[in-house]
Amino acid sequence: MSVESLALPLALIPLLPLLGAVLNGLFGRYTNARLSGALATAAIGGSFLVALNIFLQFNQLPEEGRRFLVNYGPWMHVGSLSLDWSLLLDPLSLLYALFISGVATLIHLYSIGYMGKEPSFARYFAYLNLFSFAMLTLVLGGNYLVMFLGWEGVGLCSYLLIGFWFSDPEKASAGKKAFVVNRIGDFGFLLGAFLLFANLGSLDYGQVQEGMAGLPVGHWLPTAAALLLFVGATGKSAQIPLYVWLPDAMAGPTPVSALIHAATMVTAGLYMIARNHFLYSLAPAALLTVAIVGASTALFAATIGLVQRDIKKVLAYSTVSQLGYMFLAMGVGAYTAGLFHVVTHAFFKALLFLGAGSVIHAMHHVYHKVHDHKRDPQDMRNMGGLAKRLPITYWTFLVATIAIAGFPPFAGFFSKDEILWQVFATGHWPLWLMGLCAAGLTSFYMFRLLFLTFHGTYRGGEAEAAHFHENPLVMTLPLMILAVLSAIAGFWGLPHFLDFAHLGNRFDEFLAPVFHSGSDLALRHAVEAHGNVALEWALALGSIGVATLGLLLARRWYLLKPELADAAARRHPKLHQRLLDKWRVDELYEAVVVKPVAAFSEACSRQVDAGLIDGAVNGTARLAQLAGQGVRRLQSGRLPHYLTAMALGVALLLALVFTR
Amino acid sequence: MPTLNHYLLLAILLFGLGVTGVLIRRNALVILMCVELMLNAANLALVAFGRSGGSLEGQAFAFFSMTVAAAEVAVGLAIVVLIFRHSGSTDLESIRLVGGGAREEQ
Amino acid sequence: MDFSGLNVAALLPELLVSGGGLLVMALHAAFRGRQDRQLVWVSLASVVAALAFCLNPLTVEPGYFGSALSDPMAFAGRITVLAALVLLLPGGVAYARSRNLPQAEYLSLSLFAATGMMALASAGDLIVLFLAVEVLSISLYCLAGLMGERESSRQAALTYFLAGSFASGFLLFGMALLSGSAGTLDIAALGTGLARVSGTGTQWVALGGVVLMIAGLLFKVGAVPFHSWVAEVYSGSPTVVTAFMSTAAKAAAFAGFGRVLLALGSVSEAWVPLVGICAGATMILGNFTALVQGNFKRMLAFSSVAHAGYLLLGLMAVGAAGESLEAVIFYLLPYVLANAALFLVAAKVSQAGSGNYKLDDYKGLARRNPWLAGLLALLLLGLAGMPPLAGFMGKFMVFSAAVRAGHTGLAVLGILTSVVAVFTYLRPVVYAWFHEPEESGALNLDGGLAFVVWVAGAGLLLLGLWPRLWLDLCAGIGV
Repeated sequence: MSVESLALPLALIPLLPLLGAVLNGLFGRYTNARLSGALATAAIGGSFLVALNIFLQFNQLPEEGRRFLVNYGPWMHVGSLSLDWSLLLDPLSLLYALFISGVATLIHLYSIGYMGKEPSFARYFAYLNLFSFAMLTLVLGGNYLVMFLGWEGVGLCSYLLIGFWFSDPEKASAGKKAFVVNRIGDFGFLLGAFLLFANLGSLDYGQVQEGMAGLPVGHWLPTAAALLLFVGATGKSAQIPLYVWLPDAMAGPTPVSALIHAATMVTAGLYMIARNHFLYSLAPAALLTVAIVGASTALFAATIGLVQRDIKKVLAYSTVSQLGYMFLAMGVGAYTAGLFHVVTHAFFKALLFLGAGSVIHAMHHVYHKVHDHKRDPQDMRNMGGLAKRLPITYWTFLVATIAIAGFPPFAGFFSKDEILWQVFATGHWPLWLMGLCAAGLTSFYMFRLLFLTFHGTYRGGEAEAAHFHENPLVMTLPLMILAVLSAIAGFWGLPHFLDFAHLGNRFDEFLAPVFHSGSDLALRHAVEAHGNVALEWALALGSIGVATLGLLLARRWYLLKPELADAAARRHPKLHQRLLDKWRVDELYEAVVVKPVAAFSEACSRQVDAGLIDGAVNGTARLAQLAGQGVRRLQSGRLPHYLTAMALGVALLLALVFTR
Repeated sequence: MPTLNHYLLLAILLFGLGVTGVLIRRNALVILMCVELMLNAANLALVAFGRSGGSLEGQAFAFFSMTVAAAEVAVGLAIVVLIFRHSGSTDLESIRLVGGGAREEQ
Repeated sequence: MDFSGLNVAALLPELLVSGGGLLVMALHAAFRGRQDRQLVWVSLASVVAALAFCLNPLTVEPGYFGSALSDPMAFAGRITVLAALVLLLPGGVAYARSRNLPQAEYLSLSLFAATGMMALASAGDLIVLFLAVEVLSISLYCLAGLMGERESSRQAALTYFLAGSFASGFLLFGMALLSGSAGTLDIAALGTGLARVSGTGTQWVALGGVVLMIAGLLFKVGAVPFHSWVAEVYSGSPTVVTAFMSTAAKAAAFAGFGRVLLALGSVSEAWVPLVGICAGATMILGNFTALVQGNFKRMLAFSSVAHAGYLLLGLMAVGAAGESLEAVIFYLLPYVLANAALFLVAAKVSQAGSGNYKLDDYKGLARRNPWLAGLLALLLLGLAGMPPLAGFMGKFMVFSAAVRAGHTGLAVLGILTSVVAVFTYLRPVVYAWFHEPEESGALNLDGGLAFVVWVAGAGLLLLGLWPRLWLDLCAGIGV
């Protein structure tokens, strides 16, 4: 494998979905949903096959040779700025490209069934493909600007797809919120990039890494850059304080939630941190911030998830919470553990969303049959007992629930436990405690969801229940594949204390060439020094215990004695309402950010429009009158205002220069 | 014998006079005349500099600026006449410019 | 006398365009206005001839003894102005016809104004600079009042005229003081001239000249605190004229401004704080004011104030720290393309809707004409600075030049305000895509407008993906 032989296949990975998007955008209206969807699926599936092929070849290369920077020509060479169209292939970008294209292929396939009756299916598939293109560009980009291109692109597509059903103003505003909050994050990203550029004169990953090489740990430059980039990450990956857009983003079609708002786009922030691990490793303060924000988000979002009634809202807060875990891992320097959770989470969370989509789809169908358009097909209070009626959905959903709740031997257990272990072993025990609590809450709200939806009896009556039937294979096949992956993916990154057969942690080994920088080694030494197998066993059993507690409580409250849950809510009405209101954070932002900005704009506008520095002009007039000059009223009419303002402006500039 | 500085001082005074006139007068025609005063102050400065520096550039510039001023007056008068025809006045106050958000071109 | 330095060819583009203007007038008179419909072709022919000459120059020598330059800046300015004309004239004539405005006057005045703009971009000495500013301003005063039957247009003309000539007074007086104390009219030599008098009493005269001149130019580009005329003039003038003012005129003014500041690099410590404050205030005021406008035309007016702030930031980096001019040159073209197209779209959508540029007219545009709504989104996002559109590249280049020049605070402010700007530009897009139309029925574009919108959209995308396309062209011609 060489740079030359890689150039074409590597470019194909993002370009195939772009081609699909263009074709669907131009000719989609002449086809039907199946053809359109098949084209889109084939496009992204092609990307996956190319990535897989590269992956197979990659494994035969020596470790130090697993990094290729392919340059496709100059992009911007202006003044001291020089940027190329370049793609970077290393284990990290390959890992992302693989799971993104893989999960995306399954979700495209699922969409054929889910969106089959949608009149604007071509637009939908074009957006979905366009998103895949942007996401793959983001992870494969060879410098900060190509990455930013993808970064903005995924934001735009997410916005388009959230607002896909634009006839609903609430959904349109959710799209706008996502876009705007993400722009705030982008502000941080750009500032970080400019900071690096101003000090190192380059925006190329390699050159920035070289420029950082000589700096001491704790130097202001990596710290500031890492913190600014982290602001960008909190926007894209929905962390405190910018998480607010993600739950609202659930207004989009459910496969979109699965692809963009669970499996791929929201992990872009983690990719960015992993890509900049050399920066973060030089900046302990930034790392600690990342860890604290991550742990807080994990716990905070989990509490909100406890009481939500909308099935997708629970999953949304669960996503925010799980992303918090990943940031927590990054924050203690356990990049590999964080990335492992990214991958396993992509499997089981995509599965959960697709399963929820399957339920919603079936509910829709039933409501359609009984001509009821008022009830919310996403409200879990209307569900119940669906296990018999949607068996494949149920069994796959069960696998995913066990995986996310952290029961062995499913994927979530290994990845989450690895994170908690690393957090503990690096001595961050308060953060570990937060993570452990969040794990218990996760288990509780996931099983609550499972029981409310699939167990008990259907709350719409038997007559209605007869209309249920399992969704077609095109929708259930992705569920089954993802279920298998959720069940077994954990063995890819087997922790050494469970590695009885001495398979080795393949995931660790695969990523090792990326993270061989000094501090990562330091971390490993710290972990090894602290750790012993007994402690690791104890912690693992502890987290299984906490998950079991969550399971049992959920079972008691929502399956065995449902009145208990209501009683608990009545006992703490204030707390319950707070949780239902999501701690009123949206309202807080409205008061603290949105209103002041609007007021400031109004003030600017008034100043420009009506009075035009009225105060200044009037003040001058008054001054002139006081001075006894025969100046007539200056403030009459608008045009004299303009002229006076100009003269004042000149006077101001003159004063500025001559008083210095 | 007046020196360059005297001429400059005079030019600055003239200019200040013009600016003041623009600010305190409200008849569009008078404002136009005051602007001309500002331009002439500039011409004076140009000629004075040219004379003291022994170059013709300043004088040449002054000629050009006089031509421009003439063109500007022609257009300015046309606009003022246009306004006068519709509102019967050249007083900025009685024209009551409302601009801004109040009126839009349709 | 030696006339080898005359080289009339250096001014040929200007001569072609102004000749076109004269021809339009003559033909209008000769046919007593009966053939006015054909005049647009005469105008376009002269523009295309000038464009062809610029792209394929017979000479790159400066003409008129160094008064008319042919450097990248001149090239970029000329092409930008001519491109704006190509986009605006056909739509403008259609607009004039539909509203019973005199077509011949519109065309000839536009061409004269363009002559001034092109000359401004290629001015080598202060006389040409002043003449160019005046030629473009006087033509625009007339254009603003072209719809003289309407009060708003008359007021726009009077406001623009009085404020503009007041500013010209400052500009000329500043030039007089500056050139007198530097002892030269040659713009490029101003710096060395000033260095000679530094430390003497003349220095103060020169400094006063610099300030007055910068003030005059700040007025012409519509920067705070000299922006007060913008709202009234932009909203009162006929829309195609507003489009012309906010695109070509602004680009030319920035080219001239850039030239002056580049020459004044040696006294940058005097003017950098001043321009910096104006740039910062312009970004803040322009963006925040645009945010709350309920009127599309005014929104665009204030957004163009905001863009003036970013361009000023770019100029500071150029003048003070010797960063490349390319950032500013690059910024202008996509800005001009997007704005020209948006103003024409605004005229069209408004005519089909409320008639007074309400943002509400855009509700449900996607249902009535999805392509138009898509391109509208593209153009607005381009202005907002979304990658990979050229607007982003322009902003990125300007900000990185500013960062390299040490104006970090202003660059941060620029990025922050451009986040705010996204809200502004998003509103019409959200209306177009995520609202139900108030009026049903398709909204079809005529061929000319469709051409403009597609060219602008394609240009924005192309320039974003291959910024060098335009910059290499500029550099290749100039050197």
